Amino acid sequence: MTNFYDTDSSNGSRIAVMGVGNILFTDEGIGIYATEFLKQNYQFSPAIDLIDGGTLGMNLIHYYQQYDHLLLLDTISVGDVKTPGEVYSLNSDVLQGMGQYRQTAHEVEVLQTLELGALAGDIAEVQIIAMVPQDIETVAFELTQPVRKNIALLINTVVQHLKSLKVTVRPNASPVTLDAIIEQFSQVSASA
Amino acid sequence: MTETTPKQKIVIDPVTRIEGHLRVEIEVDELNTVTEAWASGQLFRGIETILKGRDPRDTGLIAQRICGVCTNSHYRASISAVENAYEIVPPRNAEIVRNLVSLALFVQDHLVHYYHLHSLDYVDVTSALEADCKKASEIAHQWHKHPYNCSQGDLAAVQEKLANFVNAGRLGLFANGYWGHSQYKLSPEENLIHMNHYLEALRIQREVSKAIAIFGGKTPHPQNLVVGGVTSVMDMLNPQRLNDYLFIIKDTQEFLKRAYLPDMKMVVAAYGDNIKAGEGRGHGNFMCSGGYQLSDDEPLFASGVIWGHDFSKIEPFDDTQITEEASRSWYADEAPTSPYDETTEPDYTYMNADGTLKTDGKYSWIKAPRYQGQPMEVGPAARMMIGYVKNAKFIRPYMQHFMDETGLDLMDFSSSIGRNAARAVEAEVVCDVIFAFVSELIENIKYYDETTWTKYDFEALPLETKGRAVLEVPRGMLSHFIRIQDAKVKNYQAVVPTTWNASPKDNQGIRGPYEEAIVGLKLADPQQPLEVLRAVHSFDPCLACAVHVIDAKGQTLSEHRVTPIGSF
Repeated sequence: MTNFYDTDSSNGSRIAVMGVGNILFTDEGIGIYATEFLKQNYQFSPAIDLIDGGTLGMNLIHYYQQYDHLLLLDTISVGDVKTPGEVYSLNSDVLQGMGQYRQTAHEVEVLQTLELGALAGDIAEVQIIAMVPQDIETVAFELTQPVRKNIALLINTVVQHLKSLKVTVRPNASPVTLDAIIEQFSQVSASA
Repeated sequence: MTETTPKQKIVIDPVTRIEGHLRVEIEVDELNTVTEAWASGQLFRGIETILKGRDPRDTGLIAQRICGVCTNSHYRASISAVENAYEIVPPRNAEIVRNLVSLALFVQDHLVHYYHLHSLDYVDVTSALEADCKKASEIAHQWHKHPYNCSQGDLAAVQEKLANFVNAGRLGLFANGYWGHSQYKLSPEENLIHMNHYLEALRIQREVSKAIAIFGGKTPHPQNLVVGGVTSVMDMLNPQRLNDYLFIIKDTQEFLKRAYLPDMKMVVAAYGDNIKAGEGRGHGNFMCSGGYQLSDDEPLFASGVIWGHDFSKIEPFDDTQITEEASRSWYADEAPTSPYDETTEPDYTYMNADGTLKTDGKYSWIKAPRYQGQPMEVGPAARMMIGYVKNAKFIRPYMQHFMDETGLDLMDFSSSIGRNAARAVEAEVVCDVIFAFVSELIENIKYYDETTWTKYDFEALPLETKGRAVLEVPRGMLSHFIRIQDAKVKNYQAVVPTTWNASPKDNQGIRGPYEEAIVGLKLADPQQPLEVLRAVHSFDPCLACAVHVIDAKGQTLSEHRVTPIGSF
């Protein structure tokens, strides 16, 4: 029985792609869908972990501590003018200092956990690859058009970043569509 | 300033960095006393739209996604609601395994809430840098014979680490507190002791998640529960897994007794005047559904209702008395309705042009839940008070001990700091009770009771039925309601702890618990409303789970934008 916090470190640096967000709220699920899309459509060498991170709070810290490189796929809000579908790729250092204590409700946010993680010890090099969402309020297993239109850009950005980490990424012969991925999430079943 | 207004309106949008998540608007008079408050929040709504028409056995897997932090709580509540609807009773071992996960969550949530999300309302980080480490070590020994990690050397190491972070300026966590605010009352040495445990608690809470993962499976999306029982059978039967779990809980228990409780007593002593002044006191209506039955039929939590701080009598709790209404919330379906029959039809009436709440009309995405038409406070304070008054076997002695040592009386727990004190006592009680559940489980297995699932024939179950689960979880009372028709979900509703506490006003104009706790507070500095944050934070709000977007506003990020190859 292996402890899920322990990962195989025999292959040099430990790398993971982790989607965060809430798939119940339309575009809030971008990161999760994109991670699953990568998992089902590509082969990675050396092997990497692809994780559905949901809306973890403090538990994100464990993942920061567990890897050397963590690619965090998420939604992002930039400035006051919203351009849904825009993709940003930034090293977490750029955002350091923004997880302000007094401005948070209670559950910690991604930026805050990055800082708490750093305080707790050595953490992964975190690259945030994120897209500006259009709709994060409607309760539905769906993605909006501007997001769908640019999902390839998001995926490609992740692939390019992995390549920069010396990971070989090969697409599978028979691709699984984004619609099929979303369908899998919406049809989750314990009764089958 | 030449002009003075009798009443000043202050908007606090601090309570969250995400637009609309929790916003508090207050009115203060010329003496800086809060005369009125409006708490406006965005909370998960519309779970029924996504669950309608599904197989009732699947609701747990979707409902757990309501919140990534409270996953296990929603998962269990959903599964239990379906079991209630079908009158399926899971075997005792399944109940125990579920409890081992739920109770470890209490401990983890309380630790994280206090140290990482709330303590900095009382602890001034910058002051800790000025502490005399030798003196700090001596002070720590006054609060406990063997204080956790508090030798002079330990404390000096922590101080250096903190100084590095603060000086590096990269720690936004500490960059924006109200440091130096006149209402911080701990000495530099006491602040250092707290910060030391703040760092230790980061490690401890991580260990507790490992314990939870042993039976609950990997966070954030556990699959250990099914209607009728649990699936983590092999973990339950493996002595090594049980041992790993116990080892972590034992280690955590040490931290609670030698760090968390002494720290809380220190805060209670330093802020005694604030407690006795009743800062952050609400209506005094408290409610608990009880639960976590031990082998001798004694529940860990006692159920009941307290009205208006009258501790002389406890009314029985009856979940059919719960309704939700939306006369001041952004929904069309306004009338008080049983959660079984609620709909979620948004009726957003917008904010004022200047971005403030329309305080005369609808102003929140949270509905107003009421018990017999009244707002109720739920959470550790409610549980500890009701447990104390009802003489609950496990709660009463712990509360009595804490009260004897600190000089607090029951009324004092109805305050900003009192809620935290109750939370600390509860963490200790719960952690100790975990051992009783583990012993019982080991006994059962020893006598070959390895049942973990109650068999049922889905085809033979009624096509039309309804059920609910009312469950105490770390933040308070959580209830899920399900109506089933043609063996599919017809309606579904979740009333979560924060809905109770962060409720807006109702059609009678009665304030929600946050609002009531804020009104009457006297602010030392209206520009830095620390007292308001203390009151709101003391309830352990859970709002940010609904939507979380990395917020990079105010930063120039255009250089990090990725453009498709060929464009620029």
